Amino acid sequence: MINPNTRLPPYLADMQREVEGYAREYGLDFFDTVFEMLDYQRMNEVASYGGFPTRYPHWRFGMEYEQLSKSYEYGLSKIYEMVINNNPCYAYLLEGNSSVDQKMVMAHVYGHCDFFKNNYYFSKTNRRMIDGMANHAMRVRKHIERHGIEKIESFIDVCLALDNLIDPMSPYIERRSKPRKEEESSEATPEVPRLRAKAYMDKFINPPEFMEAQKKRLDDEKQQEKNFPEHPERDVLHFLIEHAPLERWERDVLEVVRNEAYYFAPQGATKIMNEGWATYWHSKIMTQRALTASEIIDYADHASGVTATAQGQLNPYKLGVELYRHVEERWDKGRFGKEWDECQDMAARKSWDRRVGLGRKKIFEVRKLYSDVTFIDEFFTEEFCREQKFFSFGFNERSGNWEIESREFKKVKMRLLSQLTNFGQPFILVVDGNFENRGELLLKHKHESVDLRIDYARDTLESLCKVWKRPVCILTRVDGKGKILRYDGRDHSDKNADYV
Amino acid sequence: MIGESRQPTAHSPQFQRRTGARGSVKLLLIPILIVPMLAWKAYERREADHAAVTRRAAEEIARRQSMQDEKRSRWQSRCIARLQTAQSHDSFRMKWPIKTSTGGEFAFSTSERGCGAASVVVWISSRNRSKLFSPIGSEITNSDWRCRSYPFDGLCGSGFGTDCQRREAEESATISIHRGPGTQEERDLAAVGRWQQAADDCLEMAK
Repeated sequence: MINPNTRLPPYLADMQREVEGYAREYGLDFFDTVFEMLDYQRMNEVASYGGFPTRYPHWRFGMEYEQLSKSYEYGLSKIYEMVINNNPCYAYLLEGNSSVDQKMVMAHVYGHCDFFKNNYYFSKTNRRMIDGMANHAMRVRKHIERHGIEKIESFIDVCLALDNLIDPMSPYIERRSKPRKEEESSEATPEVPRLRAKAYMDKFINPPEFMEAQKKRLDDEKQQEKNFPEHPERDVLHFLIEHAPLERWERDVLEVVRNEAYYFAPQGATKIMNEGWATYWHSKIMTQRALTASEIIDYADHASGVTATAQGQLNPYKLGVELYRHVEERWDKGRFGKEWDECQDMAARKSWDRRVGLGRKKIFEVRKLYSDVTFIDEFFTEEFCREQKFFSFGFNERSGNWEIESREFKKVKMRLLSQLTNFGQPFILVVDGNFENRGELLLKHKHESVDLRIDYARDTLESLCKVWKRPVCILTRVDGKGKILRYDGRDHSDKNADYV
Repeated sequence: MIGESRQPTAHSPQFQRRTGARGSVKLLLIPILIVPMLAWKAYERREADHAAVTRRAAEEIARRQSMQDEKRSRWQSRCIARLQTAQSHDSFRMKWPIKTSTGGEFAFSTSERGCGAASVVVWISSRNRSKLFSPIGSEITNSDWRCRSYPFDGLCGSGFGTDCQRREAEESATISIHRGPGTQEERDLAAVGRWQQAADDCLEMAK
């Protein structure tokens, strides 16, 4: 629990009012934001809890705490700020930071808060998640008191191995059509409706081959209905909650893990946008309004640390803020639309400026409607790629070196998008809950040119088996060949299979 | 440290693509502003001296063990127990600092996860024993505690290993910098340049 004495001292409260005023003047729109001041130990505690004051008990939080606090103690890094998506938003400031840092952090936080409130991907998240997390903690603690910590914690370990097997887009899309009525789903295949025709015209109006094809389609649909699940199910956790033979407490714990996974999913899907937006606004607010002359050097020093690009790593702050600025510039100068797209003259493109001044409006629209993938897909242009000196790299097995693969725009962009799509994780679907009529669970890895890591897949199958309580299999492709990996609770095996 | 991942723990490996661990985007989920500190600031942090850290860790453990909040101390003591288990495998920590009368050798090499100098691991070979050290200077062998590599941000020797470097430099003033395998031309040159700079700084500190 957070120490109740975390109120801001008066000078910081004044600073907050000042920065909040600037943020609102720029048009940012956010929930009320509560700032709390924490010392580094408490900051690390809260950070290890994923930003929340209360979480269910689990050893990994302690492990993360140790890692964060050691990292701080050894002078490797420090957390300046943290903010959580809630109404009101809660943000934590680190005690002992200089006032210019605190000011920057506040401006940064208001950027995040605006993003949380307005970005579409956050629209379905629980805005009372502080209570939600506390409630989850209470539920898990209740189970611990009843069944013992070892049992519950081990099961949470299992659930955490599966918590990426959700369908992050399901809150926004109705995946399944409504269940059909009883009479519609009877055993017999429905008759293919025929158009009325006189006998001598019938074979022209209702051609036999067409009728045959229709009948086959209906038969296939009927067959599909018998499948379990009827359609491949991407939300594996949901399928397990509904159909796995779990005890009540197990189901409850799995639901907790799933709920939290859904809560965090939009943050993963918009990391670059969210950090870029916050960085854009802290930079704007600080440099145009909030900074005094004596603070500029310190500010520049620290802000450059935030946007520094480490080799081989994608810095979301840097990429995000540069992309927003790029979009703003393009829309300010009218670099969009048919005429712009069709212009091949490099000199003309370089000096293109229609002075339309739509940049600010555009970036607000972008922050409302886009996620990282769509943001990059739409606005990561060739010019931007060249300006920012992007390249893709990979391991060259022949030379045994990590090498720059390409500076070619298309390849860089494809690499970037493929890393961001589904958070860079493989697509896994439940395709059969009664595989080979033995009650085994069959998953399918939707292969998209990259194989699964077999060691991880095996470990995950072991976790899955503990939930399904029967053998589990996954159909995937290994080195171009279809393969089913199976775990029966004791041994792993694999066999060749058709991958379609 | 920006962009450092929360890897799946050893207890909860998840389905991953084969190349997922290399060069892919790994991000902290919660919005969090973590700024790597400059190396010279790290040098200045005298409390990062091992003895002080050990003392503080002991105080911290004692403090937490006496915590009123029973439920919290429960998981904390559990994780401390796990940490201690991890450390019991860790001969290096027990013997810190290593006495290298014959002079030790430090080798920086790029980790297999990173690209160029993006992340480094520190190998210390001393008395014919090689060990892989984690960013926090402790050997990690326990399966619960995977070795993580931190980005080497090129700021004058910042990154982990700073204290080891300094200590080793003080004792033997022998540091050899090896180019890591698998770097290429410009990245190599830039990386080696920075490492060399880091080594120079260490030696300067040791004088």
